[in-house]
Amino acid sequence: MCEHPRSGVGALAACIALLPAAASAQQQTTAPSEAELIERIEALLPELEAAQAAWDARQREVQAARRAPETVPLDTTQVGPMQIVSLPEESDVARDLFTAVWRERFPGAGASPSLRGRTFAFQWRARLRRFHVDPTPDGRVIELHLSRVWAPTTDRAELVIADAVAQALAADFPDPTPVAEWLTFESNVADETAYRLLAGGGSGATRDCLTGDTPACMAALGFGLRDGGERVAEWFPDEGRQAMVERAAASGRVDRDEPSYRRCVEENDARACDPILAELDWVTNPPISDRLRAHVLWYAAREGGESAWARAIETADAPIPEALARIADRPVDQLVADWRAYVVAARPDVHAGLGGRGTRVLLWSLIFVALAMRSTRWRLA
Amino acid sequence: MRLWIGAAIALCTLVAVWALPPREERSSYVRTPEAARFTRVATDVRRAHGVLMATRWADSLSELVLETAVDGAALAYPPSDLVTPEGDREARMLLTQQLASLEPRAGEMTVGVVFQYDLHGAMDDVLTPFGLWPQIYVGDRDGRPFCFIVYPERYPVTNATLRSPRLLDACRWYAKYGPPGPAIAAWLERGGFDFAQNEGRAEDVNEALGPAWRPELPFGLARPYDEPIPAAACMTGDATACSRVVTHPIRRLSNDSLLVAESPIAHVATGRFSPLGQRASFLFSELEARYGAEAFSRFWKSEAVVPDAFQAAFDAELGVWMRDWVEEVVGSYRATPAPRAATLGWSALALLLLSGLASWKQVRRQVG
Repeated sequence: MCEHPRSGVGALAACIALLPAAASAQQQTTAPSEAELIERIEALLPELEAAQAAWDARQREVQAARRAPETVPLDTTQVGPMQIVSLPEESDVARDLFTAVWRERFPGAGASPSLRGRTFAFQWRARLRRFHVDPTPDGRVIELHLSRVWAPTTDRAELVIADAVAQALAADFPDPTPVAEWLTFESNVADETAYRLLAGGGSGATRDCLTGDTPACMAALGFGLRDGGERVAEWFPDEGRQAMVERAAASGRVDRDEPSYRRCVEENDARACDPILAELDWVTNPPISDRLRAHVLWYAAREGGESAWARAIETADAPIPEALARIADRPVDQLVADWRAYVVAARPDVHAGLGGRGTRVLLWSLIFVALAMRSTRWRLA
Repeated sequence: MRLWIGAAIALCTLVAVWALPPREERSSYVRTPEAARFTRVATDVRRAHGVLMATRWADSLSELVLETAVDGAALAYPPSDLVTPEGDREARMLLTQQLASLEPRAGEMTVGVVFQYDLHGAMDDVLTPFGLWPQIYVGDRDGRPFCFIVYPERYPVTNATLRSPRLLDACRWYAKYGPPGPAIAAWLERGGFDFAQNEGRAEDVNEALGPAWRPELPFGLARPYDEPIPAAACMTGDATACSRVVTHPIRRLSNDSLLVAESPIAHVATGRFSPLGQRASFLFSELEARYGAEAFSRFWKSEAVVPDAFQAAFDAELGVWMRDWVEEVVGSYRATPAPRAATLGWSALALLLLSGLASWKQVRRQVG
């Protein structure tokens, strides 16, 4: 009745057309026919359209209400290629913060086409005000409304701004460029956080990296595995190596029909993963935080000087080690060694806040105990 | 003290003045009637569309499976440049091996594995049903019983796709024992398929994922994690609840359960993630391993409802058996407001210490 030598989709469509409605599975005895179902769907479509229109109208109303206080005067400041719109009383603060972020973290990113078209709607105050900034025809608005309750210090505010700038810059690497694939986390992280992530990485690669082993640092970031040799198996657990191979296969860089891939992933033999990893220039998900990869990219962009981002855009299609070397304008092993030293130097001098928290709890407990033991006329009994 | 109270009230007033009235952006989280109506109608459209697609798939794919089956097994997939002749051969061989390893084997049953584009048979420009979950279809066509599983695919299938290790999934029970009795079949489609998903023993999950929870947690902190109420009640040792866990399986995704109820789909394999849910997916394997294929076949083919079929086949009362099994593979906990002995002991100790401290302070106090 239905002929389909390879069981193709065309054959399936032919089957659908040819089969009598009487052909049935057990449950179909009381089920509606195709014609009834189509009728039901078509009857629902006008209702759906009306519901969609009503919802859209409601959303437009809400948007209009949000834009209502357009009479608020706004100032525009230019920092590098970025346009910052803020309330007049905050324009100096905005300029200072964005300038500090720009100078300290992204001095070479002036060539970014993505950043040039962006406008930042910025405010940093205890009680946020409502204002609306229309997007420019060739760009969009990045809303940065920072409450001083959540970002009480200048450092914190700068970090949030750096985060937004980093995310905008990452758009310069569209999929499927290697950088876009490698950079699975686009934001920025504080240097202290980077140290904690490296120290708490948990893999052999991060442990060796902390002690100053540059090839281990490179492996932890997902490249230079070719030079790792036997040590790759010491640096990463079995699951980690399998995950790296699987991810590379998902982006088409490893053939899933290769016997070594099948042994590695399908037969769960991690030793078979090592020759595959040795063949790859870079991988995208070594078993450490992806924030560290973002951190090393932004470090390279800063170290690369004024033309760093122009070089980054030029080499967007290059393998990661080459792209990083070009951005930082130095050999990749040198870059990674410098990055490691920088991160280690940023080691925070506190112990994850545990001591402080315990002390605060103790202090409050003592205060309450003291109050409870005070003699007072307000005794209940 | 009045000063303290006054200061606290003043502080609260200041915070209220600063924070009130609520900022408007919070209102965006409130669902408007228009949004609710759109969601309801869209859900109806998606479900009706899902039923239509399933009806078309059931119709055409059952024919396809029965027509192309070799030795009772069929493999079908849309044409793909990424599948080589070797890949096709290997996939068919794997399926044949999987079937050959089944013991017993119901000769009259045809089983199939179908990979299908997830939008095949869909209407143009109409909202499609959510999800890409594997779907099981069972039935009978011209007196030829079948069970096949459809893996919806968004992208062209590859050799690796065809090597999917699960392949037959719950259809293997049909391949082994043939069509079930009518009451058992109805129960399977109400969610009993959840107990058919995995091969092996539930202890394997303990090995892979660790124990369901840590009963050594102090102060009675161990509680059934994310279990439906009947399952939690079962873990307290309630045999009636344990029986209900089996006879009235709870599906977590309500959209899917409605789609399954209204369409020819027998089961949508969405997975269960609670400790008992995971372990219960081994239930059929467990019963078969413990009582043998013959007893399991009696249960499977029984004309009676599940508890009676269970009693007759395994000579055990369903609720009691399930209670003991749950205690063995998941654990149990006490569901009572009465405090544990350890809780009482620690509380008494704390009271004694505080009383001692207060007495010591009182004795040292000088009056006047």
